[in-house]
Amino acid sequence: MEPSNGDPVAATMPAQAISDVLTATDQAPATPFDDLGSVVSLYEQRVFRFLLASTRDRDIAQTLTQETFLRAWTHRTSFREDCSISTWLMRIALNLLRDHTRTQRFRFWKRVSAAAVDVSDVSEHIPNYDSSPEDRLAAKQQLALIWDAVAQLSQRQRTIFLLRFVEELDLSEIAATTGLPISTVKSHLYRALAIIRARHNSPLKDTL
Amino acid sequence: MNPHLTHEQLCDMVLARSPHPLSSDFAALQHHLSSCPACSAELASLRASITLLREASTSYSQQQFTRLRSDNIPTLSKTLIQPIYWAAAAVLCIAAALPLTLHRQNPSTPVSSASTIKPTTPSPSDEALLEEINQELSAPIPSPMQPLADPTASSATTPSTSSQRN
Repeated sequence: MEPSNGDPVAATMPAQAISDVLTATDQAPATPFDDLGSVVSLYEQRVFRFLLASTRDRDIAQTLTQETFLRAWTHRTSFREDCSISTWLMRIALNLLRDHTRTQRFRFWKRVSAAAVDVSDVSEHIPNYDSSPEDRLAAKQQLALIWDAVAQLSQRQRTIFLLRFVEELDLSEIAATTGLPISTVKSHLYRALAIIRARHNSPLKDTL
Repeated sequence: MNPHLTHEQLCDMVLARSPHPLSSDFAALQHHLSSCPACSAELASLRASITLLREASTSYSQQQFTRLRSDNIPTLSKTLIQPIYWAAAAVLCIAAALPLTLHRQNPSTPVSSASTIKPTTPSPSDEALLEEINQELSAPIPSPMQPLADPTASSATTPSTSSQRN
Protein backbone atom coordinates (compact mmCIF):
# COMPACT_ATOMS: atom_id res chain seq x y z
CA MET A 1 0.00 0.00 0.00
CA GLU A 2 1.53 3.35 -1.10
CA PRO A 3 1.71 6.12 1.47
CA SER A 4 0.34 8.77 -0.87
CA ASN A 5 -2.79 6.72 -1.37
CA GLY A 6 -3.23 5.49 2.12
CA ASP A 7 -2.04 8.41 4.25
CA PRO A 8 -4.84 10.94 4.59
CA VAL A 9 -2.44 13.67 5.71
CA ALA A 10 -0.30 13.28 2.61
CA ALA A 11 -3.38 13.37 0.44
CA THR A 12 -4.57 16.67 1.91
CA MET A 13 -1.19 18.44 1.78
CA PRO A 14 -1.53 20.14 -1.62
CA ALA A 15 -4.98 21.48 -0.86
CA GLN A 16 -3.75 22.83 2.44
CA ALA A 17 -0.79 24.51 0.79
CA ILE A 18 -3.07 26.16 -1.76
CA SER A 19 -5.38 27.37 0.95
CA ASP A 20 -2.39 28.79 2.84
CA VAL A 21 -1.30 30.69 -0.25
CA LEU A 22 -4.81 31.99 -0.81
CA THR A 23 -5.07 33.05 2.81
CA ALA A 24 -1.75 34.83 2.58
CA THR A 25 -2.93 36.61 -0.57
CA ASP A 26 -6.13 37.63 1.11
CA GLN A 27 -4.21 38.91 4.08
CA ALA A 28 -1.98 41.14 1.91
CA PRO A 29 -2.90 44.74 2.61
CA ALA A 30 -5.27 46.15 0.06
CA THR A 31 -4.06 49.29 -1.65
CA PRO A 32 -5.97 51.85 -3.68
CA PHE A 33 -3.90 50.72 -6.66
CA ASP A 34 -5.60 47.34 -6.68
CA ASP A 35 -8.32 49.08 -8.64
CA LEU A 36 -5.88 50.52 -11.11
CA GLY A 37 -8.56 51.51 -13.59
CA SER A 38 -10.13 53.94 -11.17
CA VAL A 39 -6.78 55.41 -10.21
CA VAL A 40 -5.82 55.90 -13.85
CA SER A 41 -9.11 57.53 -14.75
CA LEU A 42 -8.80 59.89 -11.79
CA TYR A 43 -5.16 60.93 -12.05
CA GLU A 44 -3.92 60.18 -15.56
CA GLN A 45 -4.77 63.56 -17.01
CA ARG A 46 -3.14 65.39 -14.13
CA VAL A 47 0.09 63.40 -14.37
CA PHE A 48 0.14 63.87 -18.14
CA ARG A 49 -0.39 67.62 -17.77
CA PHE A 50 2.53 67.96 -15.39
CA LEU A 51 4.82 65.85 -17.56
CA LEU A 52 3.79 67.69 -20.71
CA ALA A 53 4.48 71.05 -19.09
CA SER A 54 7.83 69.77 -17.85
CA THR A 55 9.12 68.03 -20.95
CA ARG A 56 7.23 70.05 -23.56
CA ASP A 57 7.06 66.91 -25.64
CA ARG A 58 3.79 65.07 -26.13
CA ASP A 59 5.26 61.64 -26.88
CA ILE A 60 7.67 61.71 -23.97
CA ALA A 61 4.91 62.90 -21.66
CA GLN A 62 2.67 60.06 -22.77
CA THR A 63 5.39 57.48 -22.34
CA LEU A 64 6.31 58.71 -18.89
CA THR A 65 2.66 58.85 -17.85
CA GLN A 66 2.19 55.21 -18.76
CA GLU A 67 5.43 54.35 -17.01
CA THR A 68 4.25 56.19 -13.91
CA PHE A 69 1.14 54.07 -13.55
CA LEU A 70 3.01 50.90 -14.40
CA ARG A 71 5.54 51.62 -11.69
CA ALA A 72 2.79 52.54 -9.23
CA TRP A 73 1.12 49.21 -9.90
CA THR A 74 4.37 47.29 -9.58
CA HIS A 75 5.28 48.93 -6.29
CA ARG A 76 1.75 49.30 -4.94
CA THR A 77 2.56 47.34 -1.80
CA SER A 78 5.04 50.02 -0.78
CA PHE A 79 2.31 52.66 -0.74
CA ARG A 80 1.88 53.31 3.00
CA GLU A 81 -0.86 55.91 2.65
CA ASP A 82 1.30 58.40 4.52
CA CYS A 83 0.61 60.77 1.63
CA SER A 84 -2.18 61.15 -0.87
CA ILE A 85 -2.39 59.04 -4.02
CA SER A 86 -1.82 62.13 -6.09
CA THR A 87 1.34 63.04 -4.21
CA TRP A 88 2.67 59.49 -4.51
CA LEU A 89 1.97 59.41 -8.24
CA MET A 90 3.57 62.81 -8.77
CA ARG A 91 6.61 61.64 -6.84
CA ILE A 92 6.95 58.64 -9.16
CA ALA A 93 6.43 60.86 -12.20
CA LEU A 94 9.04 63.28 -10.93
CA ASN A 95 11.60 60.52 -10.42
CA LEU A 96 10.95 59.19 -13.90
CA LEU A 97 11.23 62.68 -15.32
CA ARG A 98 14.52 63.23 -13.53
CA ASP A 99 15.93 59.94 -14.77
CA HIS A 100 14.74 60.61 -18.27
CA THR A 101 15.99 64.16 -18.62
CA ARG A 102 19.44 63.19 -17.38
CA THR A 103 20.15 61.13 -20.43
CA GLN A 104 21.78 62.51 -23.51
CA ARG A 105 19.23 60.64 -25.55
CA PHE A 106 16.48 62.87 -24.18
CA ARG A 107 18.36 66.00 -25.19
CA PHE A 108 18.90 64.65 -28.68
CA TRP A 109 15.31 63.57 -29.21
CA LYS A 110 14.01 66.81 -27.75
CA ARG A 111 15.86 68.69 -30.47
CA VAL A 112 14.59 66.55 -33.31
CA SER A 113 11.23 65.44 -32.01
CA ALA A 114 8.20 66.36 -34.06
CA ALA A 115 6.03 66.15 -30.94
CA ALA A 116 7.86 69.01 -29.25
CA VAL A 117 5.48 71.67 -27.99
CA ASP A 118 5.95 75.19 -29.29
CA VAL A 119 4.61 78.30 -27.62
CA SER A 120 2.51 79.01 -30.70
CA ASP A 121 0.66 75.73 -30.11
CA VAL A 122 -0.07 76.67 -26.52
CA SER A 123 -0.98 80.28 -27.26
CA GLU A 124 -3.91 79.04 -29.32
CA HIS A 125 -5.40 77.91 -26.03
CA ILE A 126 -5.44 81.28 -24.32
CA PRO A 127 -8.94 81.81 -23.01
CA ASN A 128 -10.87 84.28 -25.08
CA TYR A 129 -13.17 86.02 -22.60
CA ASP A 130 -14.51 88.16 -25.48
CA SER A 131 -11.31 90.15 -25.58
CA SER A 132 -10.29 92.43 -28.41
CA PRO A 133 -7.66 91.37 -30.98
CA GLU A 134 -5.21 93.79 -29.38
CA ASP A 135 -5.73 92.22 -25.99
CA ARG A 136 -5.29 88.76 -27.45
CA LEU A 137 -2.07 89.80 -29.13
CA ALA A 138 -0.78 91.26 -25.87
CA ALA A 139 -1.76 88.07 -24.06
CA LYS A 140 0.13 85.99 -26.62
CA GLN A 141 3.22 88.11 -26.13
CA GLN A 142 2.88 87.82 -22.38
CA LEU A 143 2.56 84.06 -22.62
CA ALA A 144 5.58 83.86 -24.90
CA LEU A 145 7.60 85.80 -22.34
CA ILE A 146 6.76 83.55 -19.42
CA TRP A 147 7.10 80.46 -21.64
CA ASP A 148 10.67 81.42 -22.46
CA ALA A 149 11.39 82.38 -18.88
CA VAL A 150 10.22 79.01 -17.59
CA ALA A 151 12.49 77.33 -20.11
CA GLN A 152 15.43 79.24 -18.62
CA LEU A 153 14.82 77.85 -15.15
CA SER A 154 16.86 74.99 -13.81
CA GLN A 155 15.26 71.57 -13.74
CA ARG A 156 14.42 71.77 -10.05
CA GLN A 157 13.20 75.36 -10.20
CA ARG A 158 10.98 74.54 -13.16
CA THR A 159 9.53 71.49 -11.46
CA ILE A 160 8.70 73.41 -8.31
CA PHE A 161 7.36 76.37 -10.27
CA LEU A 162 5.06 74.14 -12.33
CA LEU A 163 3.89 72.20 -9.31
CA ARG A 164 2.95 75.43 -7.60
CA PHE A 165 1.53 77.52 -10.39
CA VAL A 166 0.19 74.98 -12.90
CA GLU A 167 -0.75 72.13 -10.61
CA GLU A 168 -1.60 74.56 -7.81
CA LEU A 169 -0.11 72.41 -5.06
CA ASP A 170 0.53 73.81 -1.61
CA LEU A 171 4.08 74.23 -0.45
CA SER A 172 3.68 71.26 1.88
CA GLU A 173 2.47 69.07 -0.99
CA ILE A 174 5.39 70.21 -3.12
CA ALA A 175 7.73 69.40 -0.27
CA ALA A 176 6.19 65.93 0.05
CA THR A 177 6.42 65.35 -3.68
CA THR A 178 9.98 66.52 -4.11
CA GLY A 179 11.27 65.34 -0.76
CA LEU A 180 12.66 68.79 -0.03
CA PRO A 181 12.09 70.91 3.06
CA ILE A 182 9.51 73.65 2.74
CA SER A 183 12.17 76.30 3.21
CA THR A 184 14.10 74.90 0.24
CA VAL A 185 10.94 74.81 -1.83
CA LYS A 186 10.32 78.45 -0.95
CA SER A 187 13.81 79.53 -1.88
CA HIS A 188 13.54 77.72 -5.24
CA LEU A 189 10.28 79.50 -5.87
CA TYR A 190 11.78 82.87 -5.00
CA ARG A 191 14.66 82.28 -7.40
CA ALA A 192 12.31 81.10 -10.11
CA LEU A 193 10.11 84.14 -9.67
CA ALA A 194 13.16 86.40 -9.75
CA ILE A 195 14.06 85.03 -13.19
CA ILE A 196 10.45 85.35 -14.32
CA ARG A 197 10.32 88.95 -13.07
CA ALA A 198 13.59 89.85 -14.75
CA ARG A 199 12.42 88.39 -18.06
CA HIS A 200 9.07 90.04 -17.55
CA ASN A 201 10.51 93.48 -16.96
CA SER A 202 13.18 93.41 -19.65
CA PRO A 203 10.88 94.21 -22.58
CA LEU A 204 9.36 97.03 -20.58
CA LYS A 205 12.80 98.49 -20.01
CA ASP A 206 13.66 98.03 -23.66
CA THR A 207 10.62 100.01 -24.73
CA LEU A 208 11.26 102.84 -22.28
CA MET B 1 7.88 108.06 0.18
CA ASN B 2 7.10 104.43 0.92
CA PRO B 3 9.73 101.95 -0.28
CA HIS B 4 8.59 99.42 -2.85
CA LEU B 5 7.83 95.85 -1.96
CA THR B 6 10.83 93.63 -1.64
CA HIS B 7 11.16 90.61 -3.92
CA GLU B 8 10.21 88.29 -1.07
CA GLN B 9 7.14 90.33 -0.24
CA LEU B 10 6.07 90.37 -3.86
CA CYS B 11 6.68 86.63 -4.08
CA ASP B 12 4.64 86.06 -0.97
CA MET B 13 1.79 87.98 -2.51
CA VAL B 14 2.09 85.94 -5.72
CA LEU B 15 2.27 82.73 -3.76
CA ALA B 16 -0.72 83.80 -1.67
CA ARG B 17 1.46 83.19 1.32
CA SER B 18 0.93 86.59 2.80
CA PRO B 19 0.50 86.74 6.54
CA HIS B 20 -2.89 86.33 8.05
CA PRO B 21 -5.30 88.94 6.67
CA LEU B 22 -5.86 90.30 10.17
CA SER B 23 -2.16 90.80 10.82
CA SER B 24 -0.56 94.20 10.58
CA ASP B 25 1.93 93.05 7.92
CA PHE B 26 -0.81 92.10 5.53
CA ALA B 27 -2.58 95.39 6.13
CA ALA B 28 0.67 97.25 5.47
CA LEU B 29 1.26 95.36 2.21
CA GLN B 30 -2.28 95.99 1.05
CA HIS B 31 -1.96 99.64 1.92
CA HIS B 32 1.27 99.93 -0.04
CA LEU B 33 -0.19 98.16 -3.06
CA SER B 34 -3.18 100.46 -3.07
CA SER B 35 -0.96 103.53 -2.97
CA CYS B 36 1.91 102.38 -5.23
CA PRO B 37 0.93 101.98 -8.89
CA ALA B 38 4.29 100.46 -9.84
CA CYS B 39 4.12 97.62 -7.32
CA SER B 40 0.45 96.93 -7.94
CA ALA B 41 1.01 96.96 -11.72
CA GLU B 42 3.93 94.57 -11.45
CA LEU B 43 2.05 92.25 -9.15
CA ALA B 44 -0.98 92.30 -11.44
CA SER B 45 1.18 91.65 -14.49
CA LEU B 46 3.00 88.77 -12.82
CA ARG B 47 -0.24 87.22 -11.66
CA ALA B 48 -1.76 87.63 -15.11
CA SER B 49 1.22 85.93 -16.77
CA ILE B 50 1.10 83.01 -14.39
CA THR B 51 -2.65 82.68 -14.89
CA LEU B 52 -2.16 82.72 -18.65
CA LEU B 53 0.46 80.00 -18.41
CA ARG B 54 -1.72 77.86 -16.20
CA GLU B 55 -4.88 78.19 -18.27
CA ALA B 56 -3.17 77.75 -21.63
CA SER B 57 -1.11 74.79 -20.40
CA THR B 58 -4.15 73.15 -18.87
CA SER B 59 -6.27 73.63 -21.96
CA TYR B 60 -3.49 72.48 -24.27
CA SER B 61 -2.71 69.38 -22.23
CA GLN B 62 -6.40 68.55 -22.08
CA GLN B 63 -6.63 68.74 -25.85
CA GLN B 64 -3.51 66.63 -26.30
CA PHE B 65 -4.75 64.11 -23.79
CA THR B 66 -8.04 63.77 -25.63
CA ARG B 67 -6.23 63.46 -28.94
CA LEU B 68 -3.94 60.74 -27.63
CA ARG B 69 -6.92 58.87 -26.29
CA SER B 70 -8.67 59.04 -29.64
CA ASP B 71 -5.46 58.04 -31.43
CA ASN B 72 -5.13 54.97 -29.25
CA ILE B 73 -8.71 53.90 -29.98
CA PRO B 74 -9.17 54.41 -33.71
CA THR B 75 -12.78 54.61 -34.72
CA LEU B 76 -14.19 53.09 -37.89
CA SER B 77 -15.14 56.44 -39.38
CA LYS B 78 -11.67 57.80 -38.79
CA THR B 79 -10.17 54.71 -40.38
CA LEU B 80 -12.36 55.01 -43.42
CA ILE B 81 -11.39 58.57 -44.19
CA GLN B 82 -7.70 57.73 -44.40
CA PRO B 83 -6.68 57.65 -48.10
CA ILE B 84 -3.88 55.22 -47.34
CA TYR B 85 -6.42 52.63 -46.28
CA TRP B 86 -8.29 53.04 -49.54
CA ALA B 87 -5.08 52.65 -51.51
CA ALA B 88 -4.15 49.52 -49.57
CA ALA B 89 -7.63 48.09 -50.14
CA ALA B 90 -7.35 48.74 -53.88
CA VAL B 91 -3.98 47.01 -54.06
CA LEU B 92 -5.38 44.02 -52.18
CA CYS B 93 -8.37 43.79 -54.54
CA ILE B 94 -6.10 43.85 -57.57
CA ALA B 95 -3.81 41.26 -56.04
CA ALA B 96 -6.79 39.02 -55.35
CA ALA B 97 -8.34 39.47 -58.78
CA LEU B 98 -5.16 38.91 -60.77
CA PRO B 99 -4.83 35.14 -60.14
CA LEU B 100 -8.50 34.64 -60.95
CA THR B 101 -8.09 36.42 -64.25
CA LEU B 102 -5.05 34.36 -65.11
CA HIS B 103 -6.86 31.19 -64.10
CA ARG B 104 -9.70 32.02 -66.49
CA GLN B 105 -7.33 32.64 -69.34
CA ASN B 106 -5.65 29.23 -68.95
CA PRO B 107 -8.59 27.02 -70.16
CA SER B 108 -8.87 29.04 -73.35
CA THR B 109 -5.29 28.29 -74.18
CA PRO B 110 -5.81 24.56 -75.03
CA VAL B 111 -8.77 25.48 -77.21
CA SER B 112 -6.76 27.91 -79.20
CA SER B 113 -3.86 25.50 -79.38
CA ALA B 114 -6.20 22.75 -80.45
CA SER B 115 -7.52 24.94 -83.21
CA THR B 116 -4.06 25.79 -84.30
CA ILE B 117 -2.82 22.23 -84.08
CA LYS B 118 -4.56 21.24 -87.32
CA PRO B 119 -2.78 23.75 -89.49
CA THR B 120 0.42 23.30 -87.64
CA THR B 121 0.51 19.50 -87.74
CA PRO B 122 1.12 19.35 -91.49
CA SER B 123 3.98 21.71 -91.21
CA PRO B 124 6.35 19.13 -89.68
CA SER B 125 5.41 16.67 -92.38
CA ASP B 126 5.97 19.28 -95.03
CA GLU B 127 9.29 19.99 -93.57
CA ALA B 128 10.03 16.31 -93.45
CA LEU B 129 9.07 15.96 -97.07
CA LEU B 130 11.22 18.87 -98.04
CA GLU B 131 14.00 17.39 -96.05
CA GLU B 132 13.58 14.09 -97.86
CA ILE B 133 13.61 15.86 -101.16
CA ASN B 134 16.70 17.74 -100.22
CA GLN B 135 18.33 14.54 -99.15
CA GLU B 136 17.39 12.85 -102.38
CA LEU B 137 18.70 15.76 -104.36
CA SER B 138 21.90 15.85 -102.47
CA ALA B 139 22.23 12.09 -102.52
CA PRO B 140 24.79 10.48 -104.87
CA ILE B 141 23.57 9.25 -108.21
CA PRO B 142 21.76 5.90 -107.89
CA SER B 143 23.56 2.84 -109.19
CA PRO B 144 21.31 2.24 -112.23
CA MET B 145 22.04 5.75 -113.34
CA GLN B 146 25.78 5.32 -112.84
CA PRO B 147 27.86 5.90 -116.04
CA LEU B 148 29.23 2.79 -117.64
CA ALA B 149 32.60 1.61 -116.62
CA ASP B 150 35.68 1.95 -118.82
CA PRO B 151 35.67 -0.99 -121.31
CA THR B 152 39.47 -1.27 -121.26
CA ALA B 153 39.40 -1.66 -117.58
CA SER B 154 36.79 -4.35 -117.93
CA SER B 155 38.88 -6.24 -120.58
CA ALA B 156 41.83 -6.23 -118.25
CA THR B 157 39.83 -7.79 -115.61
CA THR B 158 38.09 -10.32 -117.87
CA PRO B 159 40.97 -12.84 -118.19
CA SER B 160 41.25 -13.05 -114.58
CA THR B 161 37.69 -14.00 -114.40
CA SER B 162 38.05 -16.50 -117.13
CA SER B 163 40.98 -17.98 -115.41
CA GLN B 164 38.96 -18.26 -112.30
CA ARG B 165 36.27 -20.03 -114.27
CA ASN B 166 38.84 -22.35 -115.53
